Amino acid sequence: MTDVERFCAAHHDGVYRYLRRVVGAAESARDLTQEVFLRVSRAGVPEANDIGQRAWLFRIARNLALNHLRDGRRRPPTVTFGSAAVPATQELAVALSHAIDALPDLDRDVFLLRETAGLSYEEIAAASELPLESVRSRLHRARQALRATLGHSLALREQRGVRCLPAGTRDGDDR
Amino acid sequence: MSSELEIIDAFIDGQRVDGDAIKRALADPEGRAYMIDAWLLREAIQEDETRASRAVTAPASRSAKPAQRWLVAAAITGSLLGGYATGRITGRPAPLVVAPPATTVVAQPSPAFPVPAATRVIQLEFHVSTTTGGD
Repeated sequence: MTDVERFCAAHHDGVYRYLRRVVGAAESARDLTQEVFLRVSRAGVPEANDIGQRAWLFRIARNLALNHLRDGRRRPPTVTFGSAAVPATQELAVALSHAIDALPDLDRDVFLLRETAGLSYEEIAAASELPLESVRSRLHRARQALRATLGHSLALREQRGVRCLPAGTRDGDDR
Repeated sequence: MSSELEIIDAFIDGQRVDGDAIKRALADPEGRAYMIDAWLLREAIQEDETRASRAVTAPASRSAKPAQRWLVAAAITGSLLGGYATGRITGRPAPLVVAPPATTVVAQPSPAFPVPAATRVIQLEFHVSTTTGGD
């Protein structure tokens, strides 16, 4: 396995998760993920530390996602689980999707880079070309906004108990 | 308060934070509530990711089944046609191997009653000419 292949395998899931949240549709996210790694394989992984490489990768992903949205292909409504009777367990997921959509663009982007891709503050700052302090404040603002919107659902969920999880994984991932 | 909550953000995001600062932030009930909500948000996002990935992979695996069936059917047809074509090209029919007949041993039934002795014996002779001695 070459370095590029190893790099792609290590970051494929994170890039896909981020893109799926940003563009909304799974199929578009898959296409864009392929495009990201096509560009990586053409350009080669830059000589940098892990932080620099991840920031570079997510800058590509972010730019492609923004271009995709700008191209007039509007983000589809992110009701993933059917619009009729939504089971109680999925109520928070649907509300969460809507609440994330309602965030200001940059705040949403910073939040998703953190929560779906698991990037550190430094990586987010490099990927989104923002100062570190701005990353901190945007992330905090996004969390506060989501908390305010989803307060009731979060309170219901709290009754089930809380788990401390690292960001950027899927439930059940071994990490 | 906002800066104290940002300390909590940094803490739950794996950043290095000052010990006293996080103690102060978590001493406040609002800080603790914020931390719990941030974790609940994270958990909800991760569960949603898992659900979405299942939703994507489930139809794919269902649609793969007919394709697999077609592949198996094509492989069987191909191997049959290939075998037939090979046989035609070589032109030598495979020797017919006759399996030895299966033998079945049947136990002779013991007579249920005594068989009477023959009263007349008819001897059959073969190769006797029917044209001689007639006309």
